[in-house]
Amino acid sequence: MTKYESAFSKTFLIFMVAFTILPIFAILNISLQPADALSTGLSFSWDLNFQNYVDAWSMGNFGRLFINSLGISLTIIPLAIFFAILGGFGFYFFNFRNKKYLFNFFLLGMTLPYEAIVIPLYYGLNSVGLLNTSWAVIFPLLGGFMPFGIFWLRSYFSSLPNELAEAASIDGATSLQILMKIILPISKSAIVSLAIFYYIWSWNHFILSMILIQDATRRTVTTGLTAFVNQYSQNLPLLCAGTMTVIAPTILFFILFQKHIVKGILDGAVK
Amino acid sequence: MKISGKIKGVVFASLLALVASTSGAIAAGGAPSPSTVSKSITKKPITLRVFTTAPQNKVSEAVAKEFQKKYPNIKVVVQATDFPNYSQGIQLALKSKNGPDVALAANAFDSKNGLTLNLAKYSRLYGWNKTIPSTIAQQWKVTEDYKSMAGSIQVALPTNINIVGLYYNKALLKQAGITTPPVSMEDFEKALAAAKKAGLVPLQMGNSQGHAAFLVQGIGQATDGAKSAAKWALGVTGSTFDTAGNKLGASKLLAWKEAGYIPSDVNSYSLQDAVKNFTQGQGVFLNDGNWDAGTIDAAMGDNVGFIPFPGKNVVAIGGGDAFQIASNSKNKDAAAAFLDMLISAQAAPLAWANGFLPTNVGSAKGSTSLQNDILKAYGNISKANGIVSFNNNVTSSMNQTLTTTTQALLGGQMSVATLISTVQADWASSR
Amino acid sequence: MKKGRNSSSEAILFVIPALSLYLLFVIAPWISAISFSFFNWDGIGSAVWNGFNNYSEVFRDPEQFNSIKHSLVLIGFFSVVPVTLGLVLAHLISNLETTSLIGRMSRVVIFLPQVLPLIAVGIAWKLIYSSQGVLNQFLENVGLGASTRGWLGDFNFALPAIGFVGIWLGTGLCLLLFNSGIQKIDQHLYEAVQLDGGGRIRAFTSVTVPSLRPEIRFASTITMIAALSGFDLVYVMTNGGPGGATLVPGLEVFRLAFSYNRFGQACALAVVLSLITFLFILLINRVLKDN
Repeated sequence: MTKYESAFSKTFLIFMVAFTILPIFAILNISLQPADALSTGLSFSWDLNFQNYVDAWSMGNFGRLFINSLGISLTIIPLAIFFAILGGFGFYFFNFRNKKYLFNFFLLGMTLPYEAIVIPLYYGLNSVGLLNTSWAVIFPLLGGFMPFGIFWLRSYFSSLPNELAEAASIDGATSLQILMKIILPISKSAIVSLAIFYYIWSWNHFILSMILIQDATRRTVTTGLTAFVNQYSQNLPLLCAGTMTVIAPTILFFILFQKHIVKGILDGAVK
Repeated sequence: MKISGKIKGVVFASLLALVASTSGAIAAGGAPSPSTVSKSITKKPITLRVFTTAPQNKVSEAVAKEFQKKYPNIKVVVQATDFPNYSQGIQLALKSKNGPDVALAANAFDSKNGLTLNLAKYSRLYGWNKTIPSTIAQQWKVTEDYKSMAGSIQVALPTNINIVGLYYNKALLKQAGITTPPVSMEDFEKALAAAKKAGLVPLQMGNSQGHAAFLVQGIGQATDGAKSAAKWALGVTGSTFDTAGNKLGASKLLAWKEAGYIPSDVNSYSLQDAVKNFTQGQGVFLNDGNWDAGTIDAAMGDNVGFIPFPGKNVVAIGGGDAFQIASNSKNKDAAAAFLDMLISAQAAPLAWANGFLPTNVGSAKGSTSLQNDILKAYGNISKANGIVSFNNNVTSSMNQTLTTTTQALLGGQMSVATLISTVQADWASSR
Repeated sequence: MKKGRNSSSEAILFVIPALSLYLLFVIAPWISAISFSFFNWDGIGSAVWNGFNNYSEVFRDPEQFNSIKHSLVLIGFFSVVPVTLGLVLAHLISNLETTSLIGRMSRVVIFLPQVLPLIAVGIAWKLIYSSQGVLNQFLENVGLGASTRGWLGDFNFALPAIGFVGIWLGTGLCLLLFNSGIQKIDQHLYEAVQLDGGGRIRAFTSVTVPSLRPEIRFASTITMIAALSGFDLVYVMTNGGPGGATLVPGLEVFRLAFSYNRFGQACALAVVLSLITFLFILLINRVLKDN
């Protein structure tokens, strides 16, 4: 590899990084300007103003929104992981008739857009009194998360050496013991990756909560942010501070777990 | 085949559950009347849920405080969203089991689904008909077939009055060499041309949410007169949008855009953006409602004036925020008492302080020159019987239709004739 | 695993929790959307049988049909461009060691768009495209003031402007996927091409692209799903405007149901949308099948 080529590659990567960061930098920059500033992103001043964040937090009721969204994510993650482990193991460990068809039937769910099911969900959930509660989002997301979870974990389990489970099987261990004592301990990284995906998807989710939760006190961060942005569309710094407030935890989370996330997506690609 | 047998079973069972849930839908029998109405309110601790839009919530919240003082056992919870989200979600909220008791009305004909009450009995009990101007009240009374307004079924109570008129920047108007604000259409066009020549933005406008429709309606009814315009806007059978005035309105909109009187990127920003631009000196005129008076007043003070839309008839698009009572409400009498307080003399200053013109206009005193202008304009329009309901409200889809067609007209994608026929087709489809 | 247990009854115990959630909250609503789609129904009153009329209306009503056409345009921006661009770029920088500092840092940053809520992404780009936004400021600074406009309010540019956000979202992902795939390609294959007298272009078409089949399949699938839903971005950026120029099926389903009270019609479009998504995914997986 020539030095020239390497320099080209590096320059190019730096350009890609700048292109990716630009929109985020633009809102961060506006969010730190005084409320009456006319700047809309390009010019930068060191006269930073954090008051917008304080104002946005209270005016947008973001504390409430964070609690709501966190409640939804923290309910979904353990339940979804638990059911996906069972399901993924079921498809990995057992042979049964029409297994292939049932598995493909699950895969079908990965292509169904939420827009296609939200209207019947609205009526179904209303009839059982779950509309306007966090459960209205939790249940459909749990259902929607199953296909990927099962697909993901089954692929991972299948990549493990066969001998482990076989040996235990011969020793007379029950299938549950094999799952708990042999498979799970060596599958931590796959489960952590799945949990991270579930967190990101549930936290970022929009359309279900927009339609199924009309109660402003039970809104999630994304629907709350949309309402906030519409209400304060004339105060750009405030609006941007609200947007940054919502994405900051995700960015922080991403930086903390970036190894898992990047590796997770890259591995997922070839399975 | 055990598993697929089970799948079939589960699918079938859940399908049954869903079909059962939808067959329980409320039959469309129109707005029900409450069986009994009373002014005496429960003494038990209850919560009254009020759903409204921003910034009307400021008035509702202020009135709620007074209401809780009068009825200490009642807790009033006010929830607000922006109008586009509100209008799409309110029917769903009214139908759901934990919805509002009191809700801002998005469209009078929505009441056909029976989710809100016929308020006629409460109206008689409290004497609401005496205090609300009839041009405003009739917008919330529908006919028994739910096809036009100005009928006998009162579906909502208007609690304040909105009129759309013309704001103008006094200093910029002078800079353009015009000494008096326009009265006739000719004056107006002359002023726009002069402003253009002086290098100013003649007419500020924001159309990402369809507010250019105000200009079409403004010119249309100032030309055709309030009487015929109101018929169409109230949905009276046999009327048409294909009138000389509306055609003139749509062609002026297009011509003024082409002449550079209206900003070229008008489709890309909203009325709220336009208000901000106007207060920052971008625009000699702004065609907008009195609901933005507070913002404009605060930014421009004595430098801004408000007049009825110019033309040979003194008319204004006018309506008001109106409130409904949910059929599902367990506290209908308390909800009615809250509505009554919203239009009381006690609430009038609270509304006016937030920029809302109370229904008993007489009680409002102007404390700024803009407020005086608005009161004066309202007085003149009211005297001329010139208030016409918003065209946007004539069907539940009309707001979307006017947004799409005016954007297409301004974007050079649609002709004036197509705009007129598309709007009329929407109107006719629900009659 | 080939030697699993043959126990249907035990297998059911493991699969049934996930299956019932999936059936109750995804499949059942979808089937009931299909059944609603044959009715004329305002969402509140009683429903009237309407046969296949709602389906023919999907293709007759310009608003609905255009929304489908727009989503096909968005597939180009969200999927075709990022995958193609990603392939070419990955090939160009294949010599870069991913363990270098710049390599590692760029990996992290370029992945960032994948984890941000699309709502926030839409808000940011809406500001960039606004009349006084970053894009117009930039154009003015480089002397292209004449090209400035309100991008999202312009009939010719609004859809491509949203599409460009798709390029922003997808290119980095594709680049990294393909880059990590290229590292695994046997270097001897490239040497063989060189021995044959082939240049970089031959190496690209005869080694890189065929070897990256699984990655291309994966990248195309997820970017296409993003392109076909597209609700969040369009909802915050333009809400379908100007004049319906950026309407996508997801938003039109919402509008039909909640603005026009045509729930049966909305369900018909929703069913068409899911069929289109399914067909495209099937197509990709057929075309890019492993050899």
